[in-house]
Amino acid sequence: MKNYLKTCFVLFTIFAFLSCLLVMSPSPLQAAEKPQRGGRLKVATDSTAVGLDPHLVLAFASYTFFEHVYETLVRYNEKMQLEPCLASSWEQPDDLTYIFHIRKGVKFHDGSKLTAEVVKFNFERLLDPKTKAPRGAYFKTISKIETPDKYTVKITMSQPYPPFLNTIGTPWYVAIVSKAAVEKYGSLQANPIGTGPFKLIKYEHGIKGIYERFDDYWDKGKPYIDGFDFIVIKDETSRVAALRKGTVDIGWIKEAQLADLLAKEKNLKTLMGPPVRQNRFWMKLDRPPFNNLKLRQAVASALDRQEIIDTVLMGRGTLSACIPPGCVPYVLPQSEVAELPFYKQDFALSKKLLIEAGYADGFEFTCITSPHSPDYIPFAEIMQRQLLKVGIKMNIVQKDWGITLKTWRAGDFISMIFAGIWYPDPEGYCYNYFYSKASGNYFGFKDEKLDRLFEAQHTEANLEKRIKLWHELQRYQAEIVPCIWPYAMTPRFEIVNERVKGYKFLSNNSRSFLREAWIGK
Amino acid sequence: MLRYICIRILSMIPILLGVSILVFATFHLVPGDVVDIMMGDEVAGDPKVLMELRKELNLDKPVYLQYLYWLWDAVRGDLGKSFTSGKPVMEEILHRLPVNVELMIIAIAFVILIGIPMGMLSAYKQFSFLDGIVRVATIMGYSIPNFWLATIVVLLGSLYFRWLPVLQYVPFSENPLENIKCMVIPGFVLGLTTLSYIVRMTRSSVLDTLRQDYVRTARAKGMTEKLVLFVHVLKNSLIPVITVLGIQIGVLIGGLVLTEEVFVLPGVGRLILLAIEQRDFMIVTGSILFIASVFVVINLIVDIVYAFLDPRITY
Amino acid sequence: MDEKKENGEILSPSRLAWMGFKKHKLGIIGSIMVIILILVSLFSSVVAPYDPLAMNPKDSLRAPCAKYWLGTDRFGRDQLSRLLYGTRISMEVSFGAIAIAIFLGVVIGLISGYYGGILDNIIMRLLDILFAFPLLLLALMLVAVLGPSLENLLLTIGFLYHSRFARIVRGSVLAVKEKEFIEAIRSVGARDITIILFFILPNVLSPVIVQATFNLSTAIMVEAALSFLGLGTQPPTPSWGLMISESRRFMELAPWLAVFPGLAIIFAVLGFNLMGDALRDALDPRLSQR
Repeated sequence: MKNYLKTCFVLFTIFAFLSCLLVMSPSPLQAAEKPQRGGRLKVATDSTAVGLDPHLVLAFASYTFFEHVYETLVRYNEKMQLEPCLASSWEQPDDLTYIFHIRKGVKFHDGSKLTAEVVKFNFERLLDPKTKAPRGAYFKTISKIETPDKYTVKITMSQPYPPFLNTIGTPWYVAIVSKAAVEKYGSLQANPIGTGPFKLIKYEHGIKGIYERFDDYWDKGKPYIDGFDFIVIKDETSRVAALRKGTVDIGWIKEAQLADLLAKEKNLKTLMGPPVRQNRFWMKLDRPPFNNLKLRQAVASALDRQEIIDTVLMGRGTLSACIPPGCVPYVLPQSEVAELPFYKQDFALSKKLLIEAGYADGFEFTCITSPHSPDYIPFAEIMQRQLLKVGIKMNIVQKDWGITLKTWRAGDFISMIFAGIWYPDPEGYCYNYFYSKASGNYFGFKDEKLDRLFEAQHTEANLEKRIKLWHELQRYQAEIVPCIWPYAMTPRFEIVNERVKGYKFLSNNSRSFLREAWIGK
Repeated sequence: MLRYICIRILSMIPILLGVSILVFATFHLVPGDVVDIMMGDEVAGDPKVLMELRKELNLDKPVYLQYLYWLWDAVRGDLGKSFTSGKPVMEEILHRLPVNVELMIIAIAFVILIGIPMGMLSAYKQFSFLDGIVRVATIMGYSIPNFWLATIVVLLGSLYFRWLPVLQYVPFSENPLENIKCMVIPGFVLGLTTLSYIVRMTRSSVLDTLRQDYVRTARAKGMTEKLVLFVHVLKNSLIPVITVLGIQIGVLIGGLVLTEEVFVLPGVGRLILLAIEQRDFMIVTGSILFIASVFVVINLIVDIVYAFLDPRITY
Repeated sequence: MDEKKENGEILSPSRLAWMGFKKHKLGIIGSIMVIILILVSLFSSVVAPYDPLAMNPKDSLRAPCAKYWLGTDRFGRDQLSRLLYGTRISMEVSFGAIAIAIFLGVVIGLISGYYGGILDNIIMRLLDILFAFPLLLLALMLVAVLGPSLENLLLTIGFLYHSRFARIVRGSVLAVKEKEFIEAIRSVGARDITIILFFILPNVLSPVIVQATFNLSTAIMVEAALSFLGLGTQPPTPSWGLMISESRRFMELAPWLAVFPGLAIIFAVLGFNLMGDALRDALDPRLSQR
């Protein structure tokens, strides 16, 4: 009996000791590496969606809401390289043909299954004029879509279209939606149904979206979190305050000086992508004064770009050619960008060009901009001041965002300031605006040499040759100044609470890596 | 009395009709429409697509036709669907209304619970040190722009004291305590101007009443001061205060926009700001009409209460 | 308010008003504040130490110091100079807008009150429509239509405030019109326009002046609020509201940028309110007790 008790006691002691050990010293390495399941996150955004059907809207704000619900055939990894997604593999037998092998066993949120037929339906929906898909025109080179078997899609082009893969890898170009849902609802603006890692279970316009883990997600085990709230906090300072207090776990900010402040916080880390967002000074190029090449060059060479970057972005920006530094592999090295023609402030040159242009006494013009992004007006203000030094008077007119866009699209302006967004291909940054036949040429611009270069790169399937063409395009556009690109910056600074692990932020502002995020202790 | 109320209710109809016409007309003069916003800053593939989208939303029709379509639905109680969220406008409004109602209740509670006693005290102790402080404080109170105060409260609070008034709205139904916590300060900031106004109003009204003969008589009769104050003075001096409060509710409703914006509260004010920006004109018309109706109804109630309290007024 | 002095001498109304005003200590302080504001706005170019638009990126975001008393903004512009020039904008907007409001309001109020009948009814119902709007929202929409600029801001605020004056004037006209002396003048055969301009208008002016003083302060606030939302004054013109809205981005790095424009607004609004209080007590003793 006594022995028995003794044994019990010893065993108990050992057991207690071991459990103490287990509790007190979990291996830190292991804990950091192994993702934990469960928990919800709060993610803040700055603007609200205008509809949730990926084929029907263009607004970036909508995309931030629906990117968790839909997926694409191929997708970007954190290095912005393409990887398989709904297509488990793809091949390109020649410049005109793409074959996608569709992943098996993928389910939509409404329970329907992904097949080649559904993918075909999606492309046809985009191309059908009745859908009124604003991005349909990107795919007009598609001549045939075939489904040789249930899980294979073969797409044939009428001419080589190098941006194709990058474009379909971007959810706001070709997100794959449920065919059954389209047949049921007609439009998915209010009923987003895709194959994505999260379901949107509640959407309150202008307030938030509530997302829940999709248990039948094809990538088993993911996502790790149970879901997240996607909250609209329009005011930048309020977002900062919420991040600091920890009421939101992830939130992006646009302003450099706020990012500087938050970098000092211990429990927050800052993620940022390469500079892909360019601010732009647009000019109406078919009427005076900016139809005058020398004048445009005079304006460009009156600007001190470094001073602009220092005051407007607190130094967190870089010089930009017509495509931003983040647009690899096409962009010129930064050292060469600095040496581009008319990129250095040179009052003597600027004055000389003004005289040659026939504006020896300077001139006056209006510039329309909007408080939509925090850097537009400060940039306008400092540009105004710098131009004044060579006798050019720039009058700033502030308009609200809707009016700004309308004016721009109508081509009803002398000059404007606002930035562009990320594009999957260098074409998005200037081809769409300055190619004489492009639909976005609101500036009335036509330059034969530029057109020739644009046309050549548009169908150039060889990457090396295409890069060469783009280098030439960058040099040439700096010379003819169809637009002024004062700087490029990271589009947003993604501020993340330390407790969020495994999360990555893509330079196209994608938060798709919420599927990999998990909550640490 | 009943006839008066009926006439007042009927007179609301032309007012609301006028409001809707005004909003419609103004809004259609603003350049840019919801389609422009939907397209964002990107180059749209095809201008034809834009036209098609406009057609779908009836935006290609002349303004008066659009108005008549809208009116026809509105008369039958349907304020249309939001262009941007696709949900019925009424649903969007009702969804956010609790925030505004709560803010208003808190603001008015501050006004009544602090404003009226403070005004009475100040009047009762006229020319005292306390009276002096109250008078200066109230003048200060309505000289502070509330968007500035809100900014300072949010930022100083979060930056220097690591304490945050709101920024994470919690519905009352989810967690009443958290909800009150995040609403009290915005409510106070919202109500501050009105509070100061009411203090001054109460003060002068009470002073006025104190000078009346019946108060002197009551005192002469040997009534205790407390009784005089509560029975005679309070009742009689509250009439003008209530009128002013009715007018001030309009001021409060206007202040909601800025308060909601700075404190990030999901109310109707932000809905309207957002809708103006997004050119979601269904929401703008619907919610402004809604606010206008609320405002008109409140004024009506104030008038009725006023008539009820003051037997001298007959209709 | 005593109608007579101790010795029984009867005083003219204006002298009486002045005496009432003088007694009001806060009113005197308020008037001094308003005078300071007007002087600053007239002579801002003399008082301001720097050009408010001059940028000096090397001195950006300096805290208040001997060189820059109230610090500098992100472009290194002197905040004191900007505030002083901002005074001019605020005064321009508030005086201009209220002048428009008074003109519209008085004309409408006089016509409506004097002629009465259907015309009066129509005008009042139209004003009811304006009253049914939250003011700031209407201002937002109007400015969006007109496009943001100083002139449009002025017009918008003027248009929005005229209804207040119209109501007050109409009320006073209704009261004055029934007085015997008007009857007497009318019986002599005076024309309506003569009666309105020379006999009714002077009698309704004092409530208008009181209302104007208060509305000057609200106009300052509305200007600031609209500029705060980006719909008012255009950069680089310094405006207090715009300065506050810009400062929010630098709150932590440069709190002085938010604090001082706010204080400037409070100073201006306070000045007009104090003066308005005193004026009201002096000109219209009945109003102060209502």
